[in-house]
Amino acid sequence: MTTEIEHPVSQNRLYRYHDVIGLLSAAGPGFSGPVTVITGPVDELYVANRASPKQPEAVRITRCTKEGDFLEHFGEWGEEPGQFIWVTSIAFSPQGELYLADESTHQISVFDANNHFVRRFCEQGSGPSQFDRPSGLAFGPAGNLYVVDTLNHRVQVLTLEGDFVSQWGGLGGGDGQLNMPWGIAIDTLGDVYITDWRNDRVQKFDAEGKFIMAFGSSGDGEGQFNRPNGIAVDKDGDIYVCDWLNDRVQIFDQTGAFKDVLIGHSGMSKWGRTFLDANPDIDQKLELATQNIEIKQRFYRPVSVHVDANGKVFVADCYRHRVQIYQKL
Amino acid sequence: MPGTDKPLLAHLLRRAGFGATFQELDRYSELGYEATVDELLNPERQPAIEEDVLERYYIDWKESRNIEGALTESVYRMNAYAGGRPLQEKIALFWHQVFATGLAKVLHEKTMLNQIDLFREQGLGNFRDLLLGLAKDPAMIFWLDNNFNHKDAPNENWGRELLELFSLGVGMDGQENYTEEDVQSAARAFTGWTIDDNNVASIPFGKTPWLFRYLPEDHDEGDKTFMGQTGNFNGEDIIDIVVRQPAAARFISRHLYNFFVADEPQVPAWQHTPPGDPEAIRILEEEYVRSNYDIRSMLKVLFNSKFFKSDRARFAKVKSPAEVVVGTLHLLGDFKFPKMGIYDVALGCRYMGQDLLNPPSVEGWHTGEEWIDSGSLVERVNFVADQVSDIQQPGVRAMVDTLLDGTAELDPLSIIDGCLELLGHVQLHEKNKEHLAGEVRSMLEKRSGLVAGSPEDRQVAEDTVLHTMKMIGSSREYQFA
Amino acid sequence: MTSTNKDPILIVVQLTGGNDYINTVIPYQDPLYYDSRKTVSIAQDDVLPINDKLAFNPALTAMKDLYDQGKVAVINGIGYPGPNRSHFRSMDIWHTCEPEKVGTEGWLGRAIRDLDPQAENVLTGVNFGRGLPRAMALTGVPVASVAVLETYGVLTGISGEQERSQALDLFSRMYSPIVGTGHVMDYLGSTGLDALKGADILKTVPAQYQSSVEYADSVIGRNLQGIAKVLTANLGTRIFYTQQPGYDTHANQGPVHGVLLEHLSQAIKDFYEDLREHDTSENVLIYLFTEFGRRVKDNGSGTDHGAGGLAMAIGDPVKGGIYSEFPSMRPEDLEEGDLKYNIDFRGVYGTVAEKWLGLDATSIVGGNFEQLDFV
Repeated sequence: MTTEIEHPVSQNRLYRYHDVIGLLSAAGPGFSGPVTVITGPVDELYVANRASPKQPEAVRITRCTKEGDFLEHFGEWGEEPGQFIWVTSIAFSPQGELYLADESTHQISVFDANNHFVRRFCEQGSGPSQFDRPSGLAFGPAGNLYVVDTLNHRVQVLTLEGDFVSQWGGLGGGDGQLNMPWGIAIDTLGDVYITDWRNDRVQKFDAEGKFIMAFGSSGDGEGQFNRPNGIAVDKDGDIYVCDWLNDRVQIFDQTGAFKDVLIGHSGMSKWGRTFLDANPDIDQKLELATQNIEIKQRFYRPVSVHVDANGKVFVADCYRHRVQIYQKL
Repeated sequence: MPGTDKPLLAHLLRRAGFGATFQELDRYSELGYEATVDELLNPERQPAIEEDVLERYYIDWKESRNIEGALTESVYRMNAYAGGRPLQEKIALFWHQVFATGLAKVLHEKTMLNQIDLFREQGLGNFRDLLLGLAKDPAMIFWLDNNFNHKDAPNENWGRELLELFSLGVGMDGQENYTEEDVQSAARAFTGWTIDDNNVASIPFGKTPWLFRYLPEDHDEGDKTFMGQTGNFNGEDIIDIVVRQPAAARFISRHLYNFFVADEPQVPAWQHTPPGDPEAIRILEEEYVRSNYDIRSMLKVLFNSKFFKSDRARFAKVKSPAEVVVGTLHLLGDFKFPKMGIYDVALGCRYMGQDLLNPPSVEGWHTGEEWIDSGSLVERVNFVADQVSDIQQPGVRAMVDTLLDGTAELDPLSIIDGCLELLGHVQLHEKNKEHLAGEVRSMLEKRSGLVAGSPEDRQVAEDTVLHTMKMIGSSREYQFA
Repeated sequence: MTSTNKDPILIVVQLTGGNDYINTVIPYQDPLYYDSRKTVSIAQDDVLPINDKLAFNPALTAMKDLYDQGKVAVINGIGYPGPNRSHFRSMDIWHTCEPEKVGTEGWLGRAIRDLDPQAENVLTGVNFGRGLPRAMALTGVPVASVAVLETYGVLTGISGEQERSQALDLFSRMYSPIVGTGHVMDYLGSTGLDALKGADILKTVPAQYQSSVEYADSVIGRNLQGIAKVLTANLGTRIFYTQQPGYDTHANQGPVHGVLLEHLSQAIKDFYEDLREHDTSENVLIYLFTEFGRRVKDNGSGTDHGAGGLAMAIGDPVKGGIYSEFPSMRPEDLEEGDLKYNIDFRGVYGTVAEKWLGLDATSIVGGNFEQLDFV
């Protein structure tokens, strides 16, 4: 029986906490520093794990159902083709291939429908088809690939083979200028939303890069950001922004007006429960821990947000090694 | 104004920081010695580093089960502040060596890093306040089992080490500073000083920070006799009594001298071995008392003193591994922005014998010449030699260009002297200079037959300079700060 | 005494932190054991008896196998007068044989000097681990401290062979002694030159080593395997040293101590299999020690620093069994809550130095102390 306490609603009652998937683990059912969560071809989840150099074996992509059942993980740490070092973002092309951005090798890798490596392209630099720490990835209405080229402070548009199409941006704080941008989302009309990380704001452009509007400023109030990273737009046009250092996800309407905020209400996940059942001594310690419950529930560096067709909101809760799920009401 | 003695400034920056680049020495020279000391003593006046970028790229390194990540984060941070706030980092390193706490037991990276932050923030302040902060630091409480120090079952670990290692030392001038009963009374006074959630596992969702918690119901309210006084003492009272002791003045003064002025014998010898420079210690002890236990005041006296500036103090310390690693990175201008590779570099510190954040025991590391053995020496030599010959590093490029563009005639001595100066006014014994000069001469001979000023000629000159820097970096003399 | 033509080899394993004697070799029939250690005592049904009074901790199954083969000597109640409960100090005492004053010369340093007075072989003593243990420290005695065997060497970053050889030549000239530069410069000089020599020899070892033994994964296992590699390369090393940290179990002793003992005993077993495979086990002796035992009474979660402790000698040359009396745990027999010692550690060192290595015990341990008969 679900209770209000187990499924609390958000501040403005527009979302209800639904579930959590996760467990700190270097392999199998678990995540290690998840930095992107997206829906896969059979309505499952793909989660990219950043991990750390101490545990290179934990760098991988994890596949699981939206109900929290582990399917598989693939990919490994390294610089060879098919491997990756600092994964930032993954996205599915319209053709169903998985594209992955690596901000250490400065390349985009492509995996086929069986999650086998196909090819990779681009290299470090500031010229066309070159990147300096690429992060966000998205596909536009014409089928092109949009890449957030962080240290070049720009957005590049490429063909699926990596040929240069166009770019916009440039370091600065004015309209259309960017400062270490991170995330990207493209809505059904083809408009492009960029989290302008160091400028603490979101900017919206049309598919050709013409500036439309910007919102946000530095701070922790409503409508303010402290280094926004992940971004998503749902079918109603609502804009979801991971407000990274403020440990929350804010939601805005198409005018940029604040609508609601998610702060994390995590319960215990399926994988977590399984682990604790096998380790009753740890379970007992967690029971005895008197630390404030709120801290355990809350987001700790949410990095990526994704909304599926059913209004489920998935947030990669990076330092808690889990994905929290809310339902749009 | 007369040119301020750059070798003296280089000496100051090696001690109060991790050494200075030649550009930094130019600036300090304009500033003057006393003003430089003043700037160093007030690191908070200089800008903070860009934390967001550090966390952006080194995602999760402070948090998850990742001892090496925490070590790396520390090395990055020391290097990042080596230009702007060197003494902040050096004083944190100093206190970390005195209040040695080990991550292999604490196993909670963020909590351990918080302890080092305590040393950064309060390390130059009042010693009593610092001890109090330490007594409440969750990493320290867990490390020395004070969370198991109960009213009905006392645990002496913290009480003993507070006296033995953190404030008084076992003895002074041949006498003992405290008794077993004092240890037991101190332990009883700190009952109830515990932490929240010492046992929370990192699984399933990562660790949550530890917090200090005082449990009055677990506190022993009885009378304790401590250092000749009796009363219902609580932890603060013990600290108040301790900092007033002449032994505390001596202990802190000797530690500051050992870390900032010249290598002394190891700490356990202090009970029976007098200081190498008793007058210097007396001066520092006086300042300890006069300033009401203020570390900044003591260091101001120390850095401005004759004994610090004397020849005897120059190169009188063997660099700790942290100084070798961070000093080299700073000289090179490397890792001022997060990128891959810091992990392997930082681990060099461990291989050289200093596993930062993880000393072998609460007694810390053996320092001075004991940093050196055939194992660690090889590590140090290899590390520095590899790093300083990498012309891609901005600092190396700047040194090479400055030397080549600023020297009319390239001969072995001008190259060697130029390198010694650029590497931080390092010195080489005459005999070793001769050996090195022979090598440099034979390398310079490759220029004959090349057009002066041509790219090939420049290449030979650059290679020669790089090789010279590499051999200086590998030398015995370079092991000293 | 050795019964072989090969030179006797000693391997010293330091258990760092103060191994809990009473939970390693357990007086499992003594009610005082269970009364004093309500929290950390091991259940009587779980222990591995070695006679009708004493038993091994259940984690020591591999060690028990070796004991049953007669290869393990358990040395009870080892210590020294005026026990010191400080890690630094007590470990230094074990390293230097100087309970009264601060010594800086290690007993093994002296042994290496006696074995190789002219320091002809820079690899007479090899330490596997970071830093040099004081036990091996003695001015003029070179010791190779190998962290990772495969990457050990000087100026390994210089790639061209000719350039490297020139650089090493210059290095050795710049590290040659210069009169009047002081003690630390001299020390650096000789250390550098010895490192050069040792590195040249050690770099040939990994390629030569072949073994079918798969060591269980642990730090002590890796170090013992490194020792096996050097030992089987027959470079003339006579004294090896390594350590296993983590024994300072003031709290949460149960799980922590068990894992350490399990790693230790399995590593030793793997190591011996490796030696036997190379037909070189009959001249190798392992000596285990720690800086102090722990208090008789537990503190509710672990145990605090104590005094009288445990040492062990393991190997083919050992006459297995139990040596020296297990100290009485009766309250009236304790010293400030700790076990009294029955045999001075210097006598046990003396046994190893004299009866195994064939050296003069008195000068190595600084006096005459009762020796035992385990080798």
